[in-house]
Amino acid sequence: MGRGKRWVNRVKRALFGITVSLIVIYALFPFIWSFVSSIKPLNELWTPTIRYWPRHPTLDNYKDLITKTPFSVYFRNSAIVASLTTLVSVVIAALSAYSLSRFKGRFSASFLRAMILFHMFPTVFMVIPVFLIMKTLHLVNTYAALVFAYTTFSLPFCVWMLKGYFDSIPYELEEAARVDGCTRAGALWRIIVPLSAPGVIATAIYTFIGAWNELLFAVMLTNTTSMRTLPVGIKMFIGEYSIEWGMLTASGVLASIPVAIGFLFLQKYLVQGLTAGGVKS
Amino acid sequence: MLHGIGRAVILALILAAVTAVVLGSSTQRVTLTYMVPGDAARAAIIQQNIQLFEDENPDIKIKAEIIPYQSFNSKLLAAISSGNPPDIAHVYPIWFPILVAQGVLTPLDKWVSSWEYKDSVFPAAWDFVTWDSHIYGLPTILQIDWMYYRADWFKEEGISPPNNWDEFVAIAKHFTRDGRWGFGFTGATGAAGKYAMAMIMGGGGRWVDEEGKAALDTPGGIEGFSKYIDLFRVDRVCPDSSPGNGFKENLALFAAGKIAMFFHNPGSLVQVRKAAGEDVVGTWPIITLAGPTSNFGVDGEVIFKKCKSPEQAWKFIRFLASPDTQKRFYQGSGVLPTISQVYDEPPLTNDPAISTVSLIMNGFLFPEVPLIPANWQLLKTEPPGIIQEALLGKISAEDAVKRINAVLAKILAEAKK
Amino acid sequence: MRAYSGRNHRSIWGCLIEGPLFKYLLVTPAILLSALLILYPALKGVWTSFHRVNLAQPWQGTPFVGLDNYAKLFRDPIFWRAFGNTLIYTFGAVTGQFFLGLITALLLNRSFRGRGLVRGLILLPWVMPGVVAALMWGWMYNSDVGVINDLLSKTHIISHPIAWLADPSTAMLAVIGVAVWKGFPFFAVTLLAGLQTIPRELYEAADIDGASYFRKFIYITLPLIKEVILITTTLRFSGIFVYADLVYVLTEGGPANATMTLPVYAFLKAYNNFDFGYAAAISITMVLFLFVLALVYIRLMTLTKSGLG
Repeated sequence: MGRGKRWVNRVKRALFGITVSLIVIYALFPFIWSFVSSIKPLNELWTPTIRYWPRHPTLDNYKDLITKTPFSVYFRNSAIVASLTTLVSVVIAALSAYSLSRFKGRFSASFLRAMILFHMFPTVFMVIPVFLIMKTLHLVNTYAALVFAYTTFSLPFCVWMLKGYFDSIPYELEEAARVDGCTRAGALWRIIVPLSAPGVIATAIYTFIGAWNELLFAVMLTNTTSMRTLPVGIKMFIGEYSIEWGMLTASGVLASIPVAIGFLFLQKYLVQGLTAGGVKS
Repeated sequence: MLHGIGRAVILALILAAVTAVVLGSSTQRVTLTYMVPGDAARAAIIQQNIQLFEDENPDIKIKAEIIPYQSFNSKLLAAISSGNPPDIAHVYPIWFPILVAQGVLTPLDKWVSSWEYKDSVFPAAWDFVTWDSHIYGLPTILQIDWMYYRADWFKEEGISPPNNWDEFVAIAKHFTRDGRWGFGFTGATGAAGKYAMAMIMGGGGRWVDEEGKAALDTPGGIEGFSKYIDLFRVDRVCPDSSPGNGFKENLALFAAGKIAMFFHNPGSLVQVRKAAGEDVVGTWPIITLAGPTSNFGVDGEVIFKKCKSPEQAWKFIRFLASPDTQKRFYQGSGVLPTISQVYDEPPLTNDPAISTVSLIMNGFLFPEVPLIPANWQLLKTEPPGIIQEALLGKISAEDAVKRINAVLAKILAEAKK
Repeated sequence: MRAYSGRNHRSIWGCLIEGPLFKYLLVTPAILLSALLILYPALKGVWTSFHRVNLAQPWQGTPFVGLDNYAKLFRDPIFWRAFGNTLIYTFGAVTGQFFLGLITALLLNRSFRGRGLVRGLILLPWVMPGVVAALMWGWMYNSDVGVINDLLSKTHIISHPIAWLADPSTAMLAVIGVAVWKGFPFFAVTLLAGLQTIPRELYEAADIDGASYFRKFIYITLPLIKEVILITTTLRFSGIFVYADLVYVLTEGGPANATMTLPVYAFLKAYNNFDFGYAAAISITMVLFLFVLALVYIRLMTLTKSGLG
């Protein structure tokens, strides 16, 4: 029994490792291709046979990107806008989701359906009316305009997701806390949110990435270099008659890595452990 | 006595106040908003130009909004339709008929008539910005198309660039061997329409005939287009991926040594040279049934009627159109100037590719859009899809030309009367 | 946190928080923002769809045309082509993303060395800016200079390069491939979050009973993440159905409308042709269809579950 089982386990582990590796390669490949292209000089980008590694690798593109273009400004703007959006979205959505999760009834059902409807509106014809609204409020070319717009459009998703995660937290926990003198608001922030942390983090990631990569509103609502976000800045590398591949691929790399690294640190909060001992039976 | 001093003081105060007001208003800065399309490289030049202009004209401040190309149209449109156009804008050729039809531009005649470089601008450029006998824009970039060819391959085999259609096809066939193709057909993106139009016009089609009706589908026009499509379908001198290829694909193919020729705009010369190598890149006019052919348009600077300081606005666009500024644009981003005297000076005289420009200017030119105020957008956006269908054999060349002609006719019908 | 001496002594704030209006108060910020920035433009869009609005031709005014734009829809073969394409694209993309994401989530739910790193790397497709991702994939798919054809040829899987994006018969598949790649991390992350809330004790109990992996999955895992699956697939389906950017950058709906989807069509009509009336009609039709579909789907999936009233 021993040797047979060990062999089966070994195969299982190997399969596991292979599958994980395949998925990682699949996820990473275009990114690697972007990186390889970014360290190639322009005359090596298209050669008679495809080169998977340049003969004369160069970091010039990265140097030029950071020193000669406003890339760092764009990065800063995207970071600020995305962070603020995530914070505001999660807070507002958590409040709404708590209401929908704990106070069921006709109102919450209609509100949920409205949220799904709002999630379905394509940005195509929203862009110009939203631009006009921001213009009336004198918010064009400010962080506020982007944060408001992004928050509003990520709310339907966040509300739905958080409600789902909140639903899975038993009501008994809050009741117990309120007996101990906690207010409803306190129950929300001290019990429900921490227990549904994986869901909150997932929602936060969704919102952050959405705001990080959003293009249409960013183009419409920003006018100057000082306010531009990364997606618009990257679009600027597409010229009228040419594309700056070096800058583009380098910025693809630099715009993605920090967020992925950020998630690397955050992902330990996705683990269980916070729920351990929470549910009695 | 106090009376006298009192009066003097009051008088002095009044004088001071009046002087302050007069001085204040004359040194009051005029701020002009300027919308311009640009990529990262051009943005640097634009900002440099603005700095130079503001140094020379301290009473004028330019607030520039530099917009990525693919979003320029929608941003300008949003600004105009919300009643808040910029004071000045740099617009593509397609915008002239649209803006003129909307009646939102200030005519520039009175300033142009006394402009020192008026006669140095190509006459065709003036034609393009003159509507209803008024000049509505100052031309600053020449928009023509030309062809890139592998000068190294041609030199190796002692072949010289084609002078007529038959030679062009023969050369394309000659180079289609050993995994290479003779001609990189542009089947996708807006440019596909421009080259197809060149072929139709070269065969004899015209935007409108004498009666003002759409006239692309003459037998000659259909023949021109048909022979063009046959390059892919019959002669098979084009890559299989042609229906999806735009400039970036053709450049990749060209640099990788897979195609011998392809069409594009002179604005990409710098990048093509860098990607493929200087000695590889040759330039030549596009050859159609009419010989060297090209569409012709100009980018220009326009002043909107809503601008409250047109005199200062004129100063700025005059600066933008001056030879030195145009030279700076050429050096920084490879776009072609509209003033002929610039072509006779370095650095343009140092570049052999620029001689192709005069070949083109002396060849057959047709305006990029019909010179009738209307919304010609559809004329840019519909043809590529129609051309793809013809390439894939879903419709015949004749049907394709007739459909494009129908689009043209529809726009004419909806034009402002 | 405010201190209360029991329920006898209430301030106005206390009344609001503890009273029956609390549930409305909570949703007020969301309602305000949505009303201003979604509802109002949406209503404006509906108004636009009943008028003829071409922003580049203001001399025509914006006359009321009733259902003309919608009638035009019905007669437009490209609209119907786009409709069908959108269904194919969305189903294909969501299914692919979901299954790949589920597998990934299940794998990442187990502990192994380097799990943290993998969890971070998995995010990269999702994080990569859309423009760069689409341009890279376009390049990779190219039949002459693309790495996909190169690798497939070198490993003798194909003998002749395939023009993935230029050939109408493969274009849709190629586009769906990119969508799956870009979106599966979303499912991986959200499903993983759902999996993490399942108490370990349940699996341990099943192990004692000798249950196989398959049985554990069907009888423990699936039911407990059913809610998450429902929500994420519904939202994802809606999101992808109306999302134009990816397809637009890859193919602009070509070749010859092989990959034309409704949102791309609406986008092109609005920003290429400036025909906002027609674009609005397309968008409204799209939303109505999607909404009905979503309601049906939800009803089907939650025959017993509460929460939707």
